Amino acid sequence: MDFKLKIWRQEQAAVSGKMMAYTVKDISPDMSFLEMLDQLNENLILSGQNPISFDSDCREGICGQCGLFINGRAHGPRGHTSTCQLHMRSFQDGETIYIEPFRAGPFPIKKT
Amino acid sequence: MDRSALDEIIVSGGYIGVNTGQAPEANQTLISSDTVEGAFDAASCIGCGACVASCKNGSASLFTAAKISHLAQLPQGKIEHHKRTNDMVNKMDELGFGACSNTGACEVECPQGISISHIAFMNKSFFK
Amino acid sequence: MYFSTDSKQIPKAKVPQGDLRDKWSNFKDQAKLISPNNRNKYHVIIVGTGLSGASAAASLAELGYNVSVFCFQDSPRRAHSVAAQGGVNAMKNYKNDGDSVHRMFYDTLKGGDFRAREANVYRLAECSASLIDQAVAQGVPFAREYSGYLSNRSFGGVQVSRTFYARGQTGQQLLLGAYQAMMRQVKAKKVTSYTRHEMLDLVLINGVAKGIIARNLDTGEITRHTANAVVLATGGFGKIYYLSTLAMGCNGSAIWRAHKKGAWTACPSWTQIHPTCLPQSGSYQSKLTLMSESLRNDGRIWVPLKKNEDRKAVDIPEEERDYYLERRYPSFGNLAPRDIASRAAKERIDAGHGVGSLKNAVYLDFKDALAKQGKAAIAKKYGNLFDMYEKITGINAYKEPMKISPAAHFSMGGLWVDYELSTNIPGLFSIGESNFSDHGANRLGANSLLQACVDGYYILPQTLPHYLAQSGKPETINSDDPAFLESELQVKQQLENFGKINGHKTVDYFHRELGKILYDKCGLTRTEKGLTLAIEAIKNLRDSFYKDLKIPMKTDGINEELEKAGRVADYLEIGELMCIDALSREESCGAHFRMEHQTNDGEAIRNDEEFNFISCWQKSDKAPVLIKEVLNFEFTKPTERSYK
Repeated sequence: MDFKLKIWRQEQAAVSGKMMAYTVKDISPDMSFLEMLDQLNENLILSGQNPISFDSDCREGICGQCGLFINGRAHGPRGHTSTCQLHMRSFQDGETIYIEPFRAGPFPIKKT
Repeated sequence: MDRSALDEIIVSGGYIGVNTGQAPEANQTLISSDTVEGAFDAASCIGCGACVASCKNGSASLFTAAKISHLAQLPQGKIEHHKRTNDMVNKMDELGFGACSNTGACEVECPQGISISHIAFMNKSFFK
Repeated sequence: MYFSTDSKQIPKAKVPQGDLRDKWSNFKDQAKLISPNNRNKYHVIIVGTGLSGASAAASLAELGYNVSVFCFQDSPRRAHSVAAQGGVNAMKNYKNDGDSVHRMFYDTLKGGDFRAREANVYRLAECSASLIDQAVAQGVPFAREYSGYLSNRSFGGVQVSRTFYARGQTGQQLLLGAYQAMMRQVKAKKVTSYTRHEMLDLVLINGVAKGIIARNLDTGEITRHTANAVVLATGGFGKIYYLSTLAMGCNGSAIWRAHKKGAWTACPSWTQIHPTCLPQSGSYQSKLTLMSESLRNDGRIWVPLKKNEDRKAVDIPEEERDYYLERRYPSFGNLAPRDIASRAAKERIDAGHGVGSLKNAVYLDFKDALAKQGKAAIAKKYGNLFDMYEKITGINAYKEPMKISPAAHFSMGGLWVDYELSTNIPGLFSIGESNFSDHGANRLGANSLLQACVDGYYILPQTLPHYLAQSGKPETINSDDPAFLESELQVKQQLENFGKINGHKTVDYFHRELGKILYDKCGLTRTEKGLTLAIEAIKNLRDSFYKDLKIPMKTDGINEELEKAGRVADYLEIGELMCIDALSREESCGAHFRMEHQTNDGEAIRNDEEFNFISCWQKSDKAPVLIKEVLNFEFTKPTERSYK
């Protein structure tokens, strides 16, 4: 599967951010959403670009550390599923996916 | 993002005031299976903050109510219930979280499927 | 030679005198105390906020000591204890099924293949009942019978029901109980919590632990922290295998950096490979999710009798299924201990009976349990696990069997500690999974939560004050001491050097390669030849890491690659010691299975005459030095560990 990604990039709380476009190719439907981002980061690092910062730890839906706002919904399109438990089979091949941090006044953004 | 505000809400009172080491025998207080399972439903919150992010008011009511309800449903947590509710709700306001207007968005996005009925319970206790 | 042996040094285990049943009481009766009004003159650092760290912090703070806790996560509640599913063992004998402290002690000792200290294991069983009381008082919603009494279930390696559980989220509930108790002390201003901080070095002054160097992962700032005692509660390092059931951030750096300052590492190669995890499905995979062992209470494990079977599981008739655990271990069946169940699965998979697209799994089938108990009963016990399985694989396990596979899970090995949980460095303690103590060569299911809690709630709050009381008047430690400055400088240099390499491969590449070497050569089975090859391969990989690593340069602000680089640099050293440890032990015991030492039907052959000791490894400029703590079985007689 191939996807176009629009990702909110912000260096730190004090500077303003913007949406940036990326492309990922040859994604397996069994890949988790975060593994898809791992692959994007691998490519960004090797090409000397700044990788995307996103929280994750247990990657089995229990620690609560992950949290992305995907296509306008907290943790993405599947209800009652944390971001780390979301898999690429929940998306259409070729789809554009919008990725942002959780936004709330008391949750300042550190880096994305 | 920085979600340490959720920890601060817990610090304000999200616990039972028991010291370690000398607790009474666990089966001394019988608790019905339904009660425990009800408390568990609330206790299963993972503290991710999706409820806050999906709320148009930026309210942490589902997170806060889940902890209040978990502890209040158990006999060992009832004693401090009113003080706990006041302390936690006031802290939530102080930290700049919004109020709940019952849109139900939080419940839809909650990875653990925690019910907004806990918020009603929290509000009822708070205004009592 | 890959190592040398120092038979002159004899580790002091400090086991108290007296009968097994009296040792812990004797210790407590004689322990030195500090008066309540003097306790706030002492400061303790605890690294790690999982069950052991959080419970120790809460307990010490309640006693009146000042505690600073450090975790790399953004909240103490995220520590990986949260992911433990199935339950926690405790000797309550609520079932009247013949349980006793002695039986629990013996089950644990035998489960660990008689490679643990008797007195420690006995104390674990002795303190277990109080833990359930404590957790219930904190509001942990353990499962109850309809009558209102606490419920139990069975776990692998035992024939009684002593496992307490909160659905499939027991670790989460116990951790939240400990976290809340700790946050109560944050409110009381007895605990200061440093989140998003990673310990990068241990600081010794005159050979005594006096603090740590930490990095703020948000700002990159390197800070010095002083204390009268340092406690490492940093969990296991199974993530060294890259694919494991552990969280992405779990690491061995804190204990390894303590090791480099002189702390002994004990039996580092003893890793539990858990039998019931989701199999790998592709090279992109970042972790293997655990499915609770409790599933083996009702699920039956099998593989097709025919090699390279391509029919669907539901189409394979009963007589063409091999329920290999029931066949090989009739008395324990599907509840055989983890090391045995994992090895049996590997044996069948290697023999060509594996299932799934990569032929790397076995079936865990609920067909019979569903028919007998009904869907509602199974859903009540395991509903969240079935849901999780479906989320990850897209498969409904009520309709077809789960596919499971072994994965790296728990480190029995860790920092060597004496009976008082102190390492060989005065003032440095290690609790929970980060130490080597109670589980021997194989941990029984539901004993990890127990050990973490017992260490934190019951043991350390007795032994650490005993140390402080003996160490004289509370002193103020100067963070400008040369030892702190030198340590800080070294940490900064290491971080800057990672960025300067500017090669062509990411940190994850090296981590994945290391993981492959270890799974293959230092995993479920080991051979002399394989281990020798692995040691050379790891050395080469390490060389290549320092020549060809590529990470973003900056050391200030958030840089996840820099964090990972430090952890993988340590893994590349720990991995080598694991292989040396496995090579040095010419026997099979528990999770350590040397192919050269097995019976004709594939069971482990332990060698009590030559290897009845805990291997303590000391760092040296040359090869690592082996120091032996000989195990003294005063109250039990090590027997062949049979589950047949």
